[in-house]
Amino acid sequence: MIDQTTAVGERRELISFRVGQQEYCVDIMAVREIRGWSPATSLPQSPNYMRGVINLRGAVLPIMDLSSRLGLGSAEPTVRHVIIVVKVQERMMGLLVDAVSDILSITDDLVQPTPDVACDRVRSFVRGIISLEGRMISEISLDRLLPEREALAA
Amino acid sequence: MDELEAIKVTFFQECEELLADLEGGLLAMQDGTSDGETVNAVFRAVHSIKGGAGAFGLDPLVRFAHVFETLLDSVRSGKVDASPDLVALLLRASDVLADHVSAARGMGDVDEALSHAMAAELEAWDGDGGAPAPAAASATASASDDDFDLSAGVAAELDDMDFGFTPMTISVEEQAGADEQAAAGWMVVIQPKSDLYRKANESLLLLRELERLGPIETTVDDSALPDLADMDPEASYLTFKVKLTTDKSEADVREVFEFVDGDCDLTITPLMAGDAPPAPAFEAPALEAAPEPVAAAVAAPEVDVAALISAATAAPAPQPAAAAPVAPPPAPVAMTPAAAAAVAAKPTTAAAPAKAPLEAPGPGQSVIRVDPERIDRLIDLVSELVINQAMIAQRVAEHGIPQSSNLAIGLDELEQLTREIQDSVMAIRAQPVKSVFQRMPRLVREVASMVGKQVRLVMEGEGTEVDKTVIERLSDPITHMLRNAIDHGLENPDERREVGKPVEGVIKLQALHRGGRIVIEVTDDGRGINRPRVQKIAVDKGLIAPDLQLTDEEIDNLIFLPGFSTADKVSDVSGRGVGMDVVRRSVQALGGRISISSRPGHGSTFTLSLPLTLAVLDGMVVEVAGQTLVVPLAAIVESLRPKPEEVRALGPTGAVLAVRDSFVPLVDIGSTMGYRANAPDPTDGVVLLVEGEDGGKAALVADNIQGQRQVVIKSLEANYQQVEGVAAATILGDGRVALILDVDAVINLRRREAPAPKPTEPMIAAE
Amino acid sequence: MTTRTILTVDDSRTMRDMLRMALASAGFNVVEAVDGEHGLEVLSAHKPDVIITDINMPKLDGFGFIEAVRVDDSHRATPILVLTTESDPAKKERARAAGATGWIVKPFNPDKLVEAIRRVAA
Repeated sequence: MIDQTTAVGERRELISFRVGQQEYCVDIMAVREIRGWSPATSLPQSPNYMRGVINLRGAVLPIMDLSSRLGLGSAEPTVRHVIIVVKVQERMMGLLVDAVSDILSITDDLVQPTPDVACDRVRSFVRGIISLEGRMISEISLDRLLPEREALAA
Repeated sequence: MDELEAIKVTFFQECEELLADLEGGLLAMQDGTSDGETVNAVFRAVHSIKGGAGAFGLDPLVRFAHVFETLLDSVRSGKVDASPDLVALLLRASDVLADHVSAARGMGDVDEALSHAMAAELEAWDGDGGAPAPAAASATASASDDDFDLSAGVAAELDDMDFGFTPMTISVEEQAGADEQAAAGWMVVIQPKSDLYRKANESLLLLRELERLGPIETTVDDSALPDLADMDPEASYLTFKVKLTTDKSEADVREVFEFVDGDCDLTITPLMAGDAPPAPAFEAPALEAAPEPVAAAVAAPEVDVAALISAATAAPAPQPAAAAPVAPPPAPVAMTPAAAAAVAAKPTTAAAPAKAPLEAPGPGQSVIRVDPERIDRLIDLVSELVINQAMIAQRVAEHGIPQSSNLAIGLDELEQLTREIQDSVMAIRAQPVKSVFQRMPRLVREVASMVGKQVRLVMEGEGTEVDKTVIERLSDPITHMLRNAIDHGLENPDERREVGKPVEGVIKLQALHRGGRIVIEVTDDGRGINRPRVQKIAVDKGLIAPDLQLTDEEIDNLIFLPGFSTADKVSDVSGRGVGMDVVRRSVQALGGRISISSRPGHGSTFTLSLPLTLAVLDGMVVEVAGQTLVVPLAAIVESLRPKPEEVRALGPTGAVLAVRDSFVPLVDIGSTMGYRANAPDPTDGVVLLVEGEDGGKAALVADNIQGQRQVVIKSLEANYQQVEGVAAATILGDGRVALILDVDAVINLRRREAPAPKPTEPMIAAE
Repeated sequence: MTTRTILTVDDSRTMRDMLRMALASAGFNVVEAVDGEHGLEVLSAHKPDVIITDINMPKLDGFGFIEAVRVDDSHRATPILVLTTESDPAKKERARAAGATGWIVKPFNPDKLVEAIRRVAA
């Protein structure tokens, strides 16, 4: 699990990407592939950050608009937009982002706790903040992104 | 060791089948069928589980199965009567056995206390279950070796078993002291009886075995040999005298004769160092060459007569009776034609009442075992082939190629072939619902005892086949239907007595194919649905308007409404957190329907219907607000283009469609699913007349129909979650995902969202 | 030496598989039958050198099967080993009375199995 506390000093690799003007990253171990944007089939009765579903080699892959999920407004996807396919708790999901920046190799002591100023939503999605060469990169906590699965045993 | 692991997998599969056979047999016994073959099958099931478990060293399972088997053996032999009480005990024991199997498999634990108590109960039954005195004496009889009359009496007592019961006297113990002596070897005198040859044993093979212990010198005594004319070629006339030089013990020597014990007179005396070899030495004939069976006796005349005579002189006097085992009753060597006919006839008569296990291959039929993943892969590929074929057909049609052209004809043939391949491949994966049904008797027993009701479960159509994908999804709804039927459907024993019904309620679980779907029915003979009460509850809970006029059928089906529960108090059984509304929703998500009908005082019937496979679906591809959607063909009654005069407004926003003599509510798919804000004019689009699972109709409005197509069902839940109004997804010829509509859910969605005064207006607006 | 053929007759798939594994690795050719009745059919087609049979089987049990083999002239001399459990000496005796050549006690180990075959096979 990517959210488990990693021993200080252990190196991890992260993929960083741009959402609007901000930089975010996810653990590279969760990333399955990165692909260009293709139109999604929209899902009715779904939160607006769910962009829809696409065909990923025969499987139905839900696409989340990360910008909308983080409260930064809906993205207007173009051919330059990118889908990062991640695996979270046995489920595959595509994250719609503006562009992939680079791969970071960090140790956990570089990750700072999310400052109090951030709103609740951001605090719950952001695992911590990495300061690197003057950039501020927020690490996304993937487990929290998905909407709760509809509880059948309600 | 891979092979052994594979066999272990087989073993557990077989256990499942055997447990099902066991339960089936016990249930048949409960219904009064306790013929020999039924009881035998029950015994065999436990016996085979024990046998396999022994091979894998699954000791707790072996121990429990052994106790179980012992009691069953007594039932089989008629020593213990198969009373209803006993059968009830055996059924409970079968549940414990099932737990042991699961535990041995690493799935779940055994309630040790329960298991011990059950084992004790099984053992105790054997003791005071009225075992007749003579049977009790059999233990004594088998221990005492000389009370021949008594044992004969026991044999008569057990004539059902037809035991050739004969006490054996074996002199191993008396002579065991000889082992201690430092013998240089053994003098072994073997006098075979005819029985030895009749059992396909061979004296020469015995000599060969002896030779493995050390060098042997053999002499043959043929003094008993009659004249050639009087000779019975299968009788035994020779005595072999073998001097064996070995440091092996007498027990080792005796072990060679294990299989012929009683079929030959055998004396083994220690050979002291310096004992003179019996003269003259005699070479055992042709030991290396494979001897002709039964030829030993005939071969004897070739032996040098002089040598034989001296051998006979050297032969010891006949041994005292103590060493001579009492011969068992002679085997029927030559059967009378009548007896032979009886043997031949036996299979037919025995097979008739037995339920032939479905899995057992017929004689000469071989079974190929295939990794299920390979079949799944094959089905996926064939599904892709179906999509591909459909796509080509579409392209060909688009190019305006005439139907009579060779290309179009070839394509038609291809389509037919593709369909056939698909059907055949699906048939490989089809399984009888038995695997699900067989878990239900236990559930019924447990639920019944929990609520203090007496219930008999009758199952029909267990052989009905359905795709594996559906099998896996049947268990939950069936469980709920059964629970509901026992808990709510059946009356308490007192109530039943009062209304003159048998105290024992009957629940029938039935599977059948109907209209290309699998239908599961659960019928109880209980009180039926109390309609005034159900309606009152629905009104009290605000689920329906107080003045709503409903048909009986509609009232019955109110129990599926979210938030409805007829139980006054949440019982252990039905109150496991899941209401019938959730059951209905999960069934609908599979493209299935569930409904209930009832006759007050006579009982209720739950009807569950599901597609035969969850792999593919025949659908109508439609366009709605720029989206491509698939509507399951099974739900569509007809499609039509409405004329303006057929569309009537009803209330502020509602509209109905006049179809022949009835009015059907119009439901715009686009606005109901949230693709657009306002419903367009229905006359601009196409209407799909659909039928909901409760029989009600609705007219779904779409913009355009693309055509009919078979689509491969892709799960939306695998990576996302259930979406209301959507049954599943599929991938169309252009590679894009299209959603498959859940027709019932769409109708319900629209009902809920329509600001109608009646939250649940009846489906059929007027007659 | 030509490969010997062993016929195993047992209604339990597990037991048949166990026997096959042990016998095949000892170099025997194995043919199988699921009950006594099936055993008689396979018998006529394969002419095995040794038969190994279970007792408790549907259709035709081990006793009936052995008796039927012994009245058949072409198989009366074929050695038959019965699979039996330690706990049931009576069954062993009855099998012998029917014409069984020897027996194998379940659960068997492969060495004992092969040894029993050696003892009865010409």
